[in-house]
Amino acid sequence: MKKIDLVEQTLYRITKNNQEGTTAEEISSLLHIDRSTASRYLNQLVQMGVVEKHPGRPVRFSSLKKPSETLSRPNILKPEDQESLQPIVEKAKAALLYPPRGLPILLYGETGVGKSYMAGYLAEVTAQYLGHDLPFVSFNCAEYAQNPQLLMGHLFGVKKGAFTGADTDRSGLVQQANGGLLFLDEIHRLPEAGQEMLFHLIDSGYYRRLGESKQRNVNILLIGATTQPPDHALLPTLSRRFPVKITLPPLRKRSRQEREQLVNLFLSIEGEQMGARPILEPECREAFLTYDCRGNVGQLKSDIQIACAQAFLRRLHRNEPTVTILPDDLPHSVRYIKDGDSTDEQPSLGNSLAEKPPKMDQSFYDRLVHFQHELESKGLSAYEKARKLQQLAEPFVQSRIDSSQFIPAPPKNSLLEASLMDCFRKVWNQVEALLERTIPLSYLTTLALHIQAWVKAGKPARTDEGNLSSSPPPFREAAELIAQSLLPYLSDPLPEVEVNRIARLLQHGVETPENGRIAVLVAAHGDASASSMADVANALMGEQHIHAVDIPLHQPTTVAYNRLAKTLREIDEGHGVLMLVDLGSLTTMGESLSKETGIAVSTIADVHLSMVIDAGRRSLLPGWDLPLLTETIRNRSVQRISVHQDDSKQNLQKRRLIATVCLTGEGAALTLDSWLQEHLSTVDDDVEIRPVQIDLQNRRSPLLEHLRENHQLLAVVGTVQPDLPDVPFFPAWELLQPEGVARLEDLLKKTRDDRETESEETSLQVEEIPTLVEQGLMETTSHLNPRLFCRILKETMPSVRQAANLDPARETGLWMHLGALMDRLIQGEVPQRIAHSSEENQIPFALIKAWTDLLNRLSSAFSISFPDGMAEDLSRLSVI
Amino acid sequence: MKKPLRVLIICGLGGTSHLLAKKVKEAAQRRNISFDVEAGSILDFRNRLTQFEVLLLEPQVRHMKKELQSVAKRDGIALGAVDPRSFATMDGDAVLDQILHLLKADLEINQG
Repeated sequence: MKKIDLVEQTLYRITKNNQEGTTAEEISSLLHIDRSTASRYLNQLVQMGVVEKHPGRPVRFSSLKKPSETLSRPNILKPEDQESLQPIVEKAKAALLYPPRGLPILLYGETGVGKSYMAGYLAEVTAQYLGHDLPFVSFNCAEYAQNPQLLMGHLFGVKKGAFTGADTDRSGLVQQANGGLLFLDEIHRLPEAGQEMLFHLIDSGYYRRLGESKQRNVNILLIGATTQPPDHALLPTLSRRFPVKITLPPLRKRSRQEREQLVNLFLSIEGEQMGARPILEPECREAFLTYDCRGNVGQLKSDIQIACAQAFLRRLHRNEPTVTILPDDLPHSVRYIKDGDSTDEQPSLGNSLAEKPPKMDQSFYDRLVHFQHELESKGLSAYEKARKLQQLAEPFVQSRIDSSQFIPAPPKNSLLEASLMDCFRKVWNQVEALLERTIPLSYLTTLALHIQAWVKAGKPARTDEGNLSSSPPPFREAAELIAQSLLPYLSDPLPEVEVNRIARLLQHGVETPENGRIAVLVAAHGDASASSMADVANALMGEQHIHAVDIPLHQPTTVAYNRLAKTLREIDEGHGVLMLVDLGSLTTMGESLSKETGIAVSTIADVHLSMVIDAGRRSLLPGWDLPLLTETIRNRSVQRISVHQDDSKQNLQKRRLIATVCLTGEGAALTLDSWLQEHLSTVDDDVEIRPVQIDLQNRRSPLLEHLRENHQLLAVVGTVQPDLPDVPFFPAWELLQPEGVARLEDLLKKTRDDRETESEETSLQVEEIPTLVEQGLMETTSHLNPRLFCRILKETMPSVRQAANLDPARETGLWMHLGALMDRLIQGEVPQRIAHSSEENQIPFALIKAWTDLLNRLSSAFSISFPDGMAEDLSRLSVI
Repeated sequence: MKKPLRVLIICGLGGTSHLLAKKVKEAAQRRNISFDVEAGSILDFRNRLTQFEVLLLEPQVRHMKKELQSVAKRDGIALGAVDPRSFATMDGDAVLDQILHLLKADLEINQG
């Protein structure tokens, strides 16, 4: 569907719920397009006479008529035509149409199995059944998962003023889906507060916008989708709200016929986009039908798109009549896996890291054709044309390849600096041409890591290699080429000895391809501990070479053993395997595994993430043998742990600090500062509060880093989340809600240490006072009967407590004060009166009355009389 | 000989603080710690505040802590509030411990 149609339909949906329509701003955030783009489309629609523009600030738009055309989708493969999906569709339909309002459905399946597609289909089915259009709102909760505030606001809507930046009332997706279906993909990424709001909505049909006290009623049917086992990923309370849970099968469990149907479908969709049906060579077809497609239907689709794009490009510059997909057009992952048992090329990466691939729609092909015409009119040579086209297509194709292979491109928090990788990418083709062979991408990573480490280590001049023979000319030349390309990255040219070394690394890499590495295997207990550590490390490295075996807690040791043995055989490249394990029997299995498999295995226990990253990084570099690598990693992890402990010790002596942040350091940060000053309890008086400015670009602040060094930085509160992953962040709006305040208090409580002794004080309950005071008076008074005194006060104190609004601590003080005073009165002493100035606040009459009553009781019980003005003095004491 | 550290305990009228000060003094003597513990009321302590190293507030006047914080910081006085439980039970030992902790923490803060 074209964007403009999408804008039109969205606006129509909104207008149906709200006569006043909406703004370009909101359309842009709903559809994830530029604000200016949204505004352009809206104005086009105004000119076409289907949308009305309401002047004002901001300008609002509303729909005038129903969009004429519903989606025309010629190539549709209905789920119910696919055998394995038939029972699923039946079950889902039954749930949706269950009277009176249908049952919420939770779809569960690996990434790419077609959960979104299924949801869309179910929406259509429901609309057909009911005989009228329904709003269908689809949202991926992972989109704003980094910013819960935005996510919840987007979902439930925001009341103006709920937090900084909420300058208008906004309706949420829940509102838009009213009367229809709301599809929440990756629902497990919803923060807990959101999940709670959601189950409240499911239960009652009511919800609140952020910052609003009014409940709103909607009638929606919810479809959730998750890649995680629902019972683990969702709050149990929410999980139970989905009576119907449907598991979609992964591609590998579906029949060859179904897979063929899918391949044909995607080919015909692409064909339509390109304007010519692609022809698939038989061996390519076979590859698509058999390769190990971990990303399921979604990846199959994007792999087919990549192949089509490549073939289309070739047709353009060779002027071929047909688009024919040849083996060379296939993405690597499709091409290389032929044996069916090798998994080296494509270890699985957690679903959470897989992003939805960007859309490669008609406009991409259009642009290519258009660009080609343009080039032709310029009269360029065939070679030039091909090159220019390639340049245009490259980013598109690359983005598909990246998403289909799950290589985040370029990884944002990568261990490698992007600028360095860029230098290498630019020169890589030339290097390959020079050496007349392809060099795997992983080798580029290796070299880049080498250079980066060299730069970071302060460029030590190594002298011990001067007498080594220099590499053959092509490698030498290639190394010089690389050195040249690195000039923009480095401040000084690479010294001769480094160029030599690169040449040798290249030679080494080319002559001992892929099989030269020590394999790294992470094995740990739990459903996903090992694989998630491996995933993170792989993602950081931009490489896929760390393997993982998850050992569910109750799996018998023999099963675990056999799985490990099998994995070891698969991943060993002849140089042994470094096993990083957590605890228990895993720590001792290495030896027998090694004996059985004949593979050198060494084991390091107590695996943690930085260990995995370290091992992965080092194993990529040539020149390690297994014992050396093991030793190094083991030593480093010990170091790390001890450093870590020092840190925590230092923290004890550092002052506690809360930083408030905003973009200027003078706006919200100051407001939050004074709010915190006011609301912190006296027990946390030692906590310093500092407003800090954060740079929006990199979300950093030198001041904040400095404060973190010198203080115990408890939390950051504010409007921008700083790039400090280990410090808890509280979005400003969270402090407006009881949960947020509770979380902050919890944090404060945990960090109170015995430096401030009063922190040990557990809060005192009113009920405890009589017993405690009786004990204290027993210790200190000589003539008073503490038991009688306490019994009377227990009965009479409540009215004083109420009149003076006493907290238990202050009340205790008054009990003691009165007890001590009575002891002296009984001995015949006359206590002094409180001197007071006239400007003091008026004492409430009710309070004086309460004290008077209390004193009367005491005076009759103990047969003493109190001096004049006693009740007044006590009242004054209770309110200071 | 080193001058003993001086501690001031404050209550509303100087009544209960006398009792508590006595208890703390006894506890200090038992433990052979040289402390000079005095009592005061919120009405009379301000002009002699600077003679003390430690200032303790009893529960009924603990709300003054905020107000006194800046003065205490300026003059290097360790400021704390008596734990209500120790106060109610007139537990001299517990309050003494509290004073020691307070001094130690204060030392650390000033050094660090």
